[in-house]
Amino acid sequence: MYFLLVLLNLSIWNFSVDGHEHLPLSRSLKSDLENMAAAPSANIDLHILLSALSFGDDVGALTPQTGAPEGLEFIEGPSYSLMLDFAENRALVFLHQPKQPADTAFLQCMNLILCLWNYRQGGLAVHGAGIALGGEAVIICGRSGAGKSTLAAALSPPCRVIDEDFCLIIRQNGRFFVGTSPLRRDGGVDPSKNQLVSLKKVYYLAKAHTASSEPIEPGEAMRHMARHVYTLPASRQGSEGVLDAMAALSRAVGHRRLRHDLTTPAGRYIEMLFGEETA
Amino acid sequence: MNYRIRAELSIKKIDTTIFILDRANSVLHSFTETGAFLWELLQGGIPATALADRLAAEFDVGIDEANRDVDGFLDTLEEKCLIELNG
Repeated sequence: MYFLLVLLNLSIWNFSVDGHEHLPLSRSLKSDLENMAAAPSANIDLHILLSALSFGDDVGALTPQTGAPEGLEFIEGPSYSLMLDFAENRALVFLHQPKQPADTAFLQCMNLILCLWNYRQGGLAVHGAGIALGGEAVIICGRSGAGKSTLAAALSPPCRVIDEDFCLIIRQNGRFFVGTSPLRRDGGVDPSKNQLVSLKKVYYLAKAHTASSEPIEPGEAMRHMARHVYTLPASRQGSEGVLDAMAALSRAVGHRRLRHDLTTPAGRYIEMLFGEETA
Repeated sequence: MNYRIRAELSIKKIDTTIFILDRANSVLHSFTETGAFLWELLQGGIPATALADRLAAEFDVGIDEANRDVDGFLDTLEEKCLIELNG
């Protein structure tokens, strides 16, 4: 059973679930996003978040279905379904009977729109901690509990944590950059999140008795990466875009296995992550 | 017995590894050298009955072992819903 989540034009910034529950998200979100999109420092393309949330009168013509017709992207989430029509720059969001706070579902949907848009631009979105130092960034991917958040926290400062769990890998002019969603759980935006940093390496975390890192081949890198991609698009164009992006990233950027322990000092990890050494 | 590769798959080869994305189930599979060799034969329309001969010739294994490997490979592909019986 689906409940249509009515996402009206952003000028009416709230939405209703099954016509009863109204969720007062930040009314300033529209202007926040517009300001960020217009700012000279804005790098992440936020226009999709503005334009995808308006649609015409033919909502009823589109219903969730298995697979995705060409030109549409359909994603089945844990508590929502999302249909994104790239040609028309619009999104339809269906909330299932809510099993979690609707603001969480909303945030997931908005981030999903950002992910899918980014896939269309040749980028990726991964579960991983993005860490920046001196104009370069690395991403540390790992399963839940692998220690990526702990490691990220230990390195900051001097490193800046871009995001401890959700990284957008954005491709511009053949280069890869790291960013994250600027959306906050309370419905606002965080302008400091709308910055991109050049991607230096991707690490895959494994616990060990001593800290070390070792390179991995592109094929293995792609297998690792696939485990951490945020979501796989359903359409042929979208999914093949993700495969292409993973293949390009596995070749263009160094991928390494990072073994970590609890005793090695943070400075040593910073050398390993951002230095040129291969030990 | 002939098989066909299911339509809901997207395929990418990196070095000697083939990646297959099952769009219907959002699962990524990968094959290393031997599996990639057999998969490319299937993609090229080679009937399943000819796979063992090609495998034996390419990898210098006996025909009995090749037959077992091919049977196991096809079973796995069917189990993972990557191929289906043709006709």
